[in-house]
Amino acid sequence: MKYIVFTGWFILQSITLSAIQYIGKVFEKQGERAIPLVGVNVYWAGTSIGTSTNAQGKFSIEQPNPSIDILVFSFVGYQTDSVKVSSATRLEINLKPGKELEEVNVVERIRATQISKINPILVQQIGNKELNRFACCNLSESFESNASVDVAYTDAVSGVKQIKMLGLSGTYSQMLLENMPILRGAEGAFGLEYIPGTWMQSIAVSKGAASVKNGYESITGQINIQFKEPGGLEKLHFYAYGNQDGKLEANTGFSQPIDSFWNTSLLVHVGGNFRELDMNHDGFLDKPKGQQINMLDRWEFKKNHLSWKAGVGYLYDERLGGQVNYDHQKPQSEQSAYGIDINNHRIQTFSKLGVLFDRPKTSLGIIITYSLFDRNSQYGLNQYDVKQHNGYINLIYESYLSTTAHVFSTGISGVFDANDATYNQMDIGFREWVPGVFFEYNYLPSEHLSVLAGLRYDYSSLHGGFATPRIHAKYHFPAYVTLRGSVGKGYRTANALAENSNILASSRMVFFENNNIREEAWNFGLSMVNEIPLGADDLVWALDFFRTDFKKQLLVDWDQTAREVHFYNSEKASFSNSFQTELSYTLFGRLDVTAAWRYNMVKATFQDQLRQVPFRSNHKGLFSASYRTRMEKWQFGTNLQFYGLQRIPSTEENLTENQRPAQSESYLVLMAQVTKNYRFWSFYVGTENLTNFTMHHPVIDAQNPFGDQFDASMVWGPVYGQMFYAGVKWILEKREKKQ
Amino acid sequence: MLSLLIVFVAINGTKVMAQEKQDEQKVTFTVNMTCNHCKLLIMKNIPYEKGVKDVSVDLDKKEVTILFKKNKITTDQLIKAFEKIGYTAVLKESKM
Repeated sequence: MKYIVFTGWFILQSITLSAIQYIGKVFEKQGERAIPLVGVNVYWAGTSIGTSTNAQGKFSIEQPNPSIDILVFSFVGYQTDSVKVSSATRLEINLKPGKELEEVNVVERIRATQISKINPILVQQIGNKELNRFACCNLSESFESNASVDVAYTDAVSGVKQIKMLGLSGTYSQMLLENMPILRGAEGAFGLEYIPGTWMQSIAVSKGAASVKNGYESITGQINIQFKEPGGLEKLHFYAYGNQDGKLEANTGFSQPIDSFWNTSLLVHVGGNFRELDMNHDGFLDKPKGQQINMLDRWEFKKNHLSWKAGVGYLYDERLGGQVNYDHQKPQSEQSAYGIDINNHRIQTFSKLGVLFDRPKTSLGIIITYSLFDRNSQYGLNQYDVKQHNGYINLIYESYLSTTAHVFSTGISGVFDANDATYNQMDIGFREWVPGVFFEYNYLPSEHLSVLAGLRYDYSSLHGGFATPRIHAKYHFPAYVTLRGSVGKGYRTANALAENSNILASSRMVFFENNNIREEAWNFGLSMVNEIPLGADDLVWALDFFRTDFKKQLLVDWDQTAREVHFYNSEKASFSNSFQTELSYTLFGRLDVTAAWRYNMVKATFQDQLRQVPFRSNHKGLFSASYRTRMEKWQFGTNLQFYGLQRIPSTEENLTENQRPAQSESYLVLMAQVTKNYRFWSFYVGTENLTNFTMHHPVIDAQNPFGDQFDASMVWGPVYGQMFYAGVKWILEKREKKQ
Repeated sequence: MLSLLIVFVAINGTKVMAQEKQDEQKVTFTVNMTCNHCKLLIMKNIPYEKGVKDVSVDLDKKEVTILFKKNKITTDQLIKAFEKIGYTAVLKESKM
């Protein structure tokens, strides 16, 4: 055995020794001067083997085998270049500015999900390949194969899903659309369902403190969504989806070049739940009926060093839930059945202007967004209405100091929130204006080391001034291991009821001891990504630990009695420790396999007692596999998730039949999908919750919804059983313009 | 589900190994493709031509190798299929 291992090691070493080393320099020509470019992505075409340039713009890369001989050089803000190498000569690459990295180049060489080796922040990129693996009706269904983000229904009656990251509520992770903050405040309750899956090109999930450029709000992480661009590859698409629960959806998108500088696109989503479904026979609709219309018109202009993107969107969302015999044409006061009526309207608009200067890595960007969100909702006798205006402006200047090893970003920002909210005629809204300044410095002395340090200072009209420091460091050991560490602070103005709307679906009395406090937390993170060559591919092993330590938090206390919920400000111990390990590998070239495990410890001090925060799984496991046939005519995907135990607030005061165990069950959820691709068409069928695990009686005291024990908000697991779905996609792509 | 997937992978692998029957032909074209986009476009179109059993693209060599059923499609029709998506294909090698 020892002999075999030694021989294997010797052969491997011999192969390594015989490989050719290519060295070279990447620069940008400015007149007679050659400015070295730092951090340029250098990789072998068709592989994930790559490096990046150092402080002098130099790189060194080994040729894995003689058949792989095209080196690609890519850098944001520069035209991607590639050269065919034939002998070990010194390479001199002159990159030209002006064009962004073509998305198609990235798609080809990356895995379905991948972690950048260059970024000092731990960012997991979920690409189009991954998004197509399962029928992602909307953003809430895009994280099925992602171990870092959990998605769950908030209650048993409204059909609302929310995410959790690092064991904490999704409100602590900042949502961005192409680096513009979205789904803030009242929108957060439904927001994930307002991002149709078919509109998305990719999602970047970053864990821990994020860059200060996007504001002070990210505490546990950041989710940045990239929509399909008007100038992208798709010309026209039509998607339709239906499931056995009566959910039907149709999506269409059309993009059109106006001339060589202008592109425009229109994305439309219509859908709804049209079937009355009460599978658990508790008299309540398992999912509300309703409909959603969502539209976005985008414009894009690119000329030389100038780019401008703008868009305007409209959304209408209606949900009609509650007891099966509730008449939604009549007011609640005129009938004895319990009803839920939710009506939301949203208008949003954005503008992004970018100017690239002749100086390398130098640009100016101005982002302006505005959204109006209008929510009218009635849950039985509870009425919660919000009219929210949100404005945002961010001006960012980026450049370098002496060399491109010292890159900085600086700018000013302003956030305006006018949240006019009433809960049963009680005014619980707020208005806040937060101007701020920021400076971020990125030190890139070599392709291995990157340090990102940022500081911002903001002044809140509600809470006064506050500073947000954040620092990230990355070291990439040749050739397999990347280590990262981060420390950062985050703040956010809590919005008690908007973020916990599930409480409305209960008879609990709500006590606002504090409502709109500014939460404050530190986040510490350590991670290691190990890319171990194994056979034809790399085995990627990622390991991370994150701790979130709250200095000030708006606690939601379910424990005082089963009849009440208390919101109050806490400066006592509250933390989340999250440890995750993940392995992924591609077998036989086309079978992608991922296995992950995560342990969360989430505790907070409720009335002087440090306790586990309710509705948080201590363990989560994930196994996913997907396979594509040689010409990708067939695709198969399956996904198994394990959720561990959760603490459930006490219901001991209730009648025996309305009591629930103080701990949830652990459970498994399995989903699978088969897709058949044709030239322009794809057909898919799939199933969710194949294991058919559901909570027993998720609605407490469903027979007596106006009694004091009624509670539909105590949801810790699947409310719906096995479900089958089918769909069709039709995509017409643009033809490439010949050079 | 996973075991089904593994069985499918194994069957599919066997099918690939058992290719190139008597009524099939393998040809290699030199194609004027320049980037990964070309490869994507070719892989999204040529496999769906009638009678095409297998397609592999070598971007570096600018070559596309196609296995097809002789009674369903000809090399001329394949060349036309490349033209339809904007590429010029020149027959390089043909194996009966």
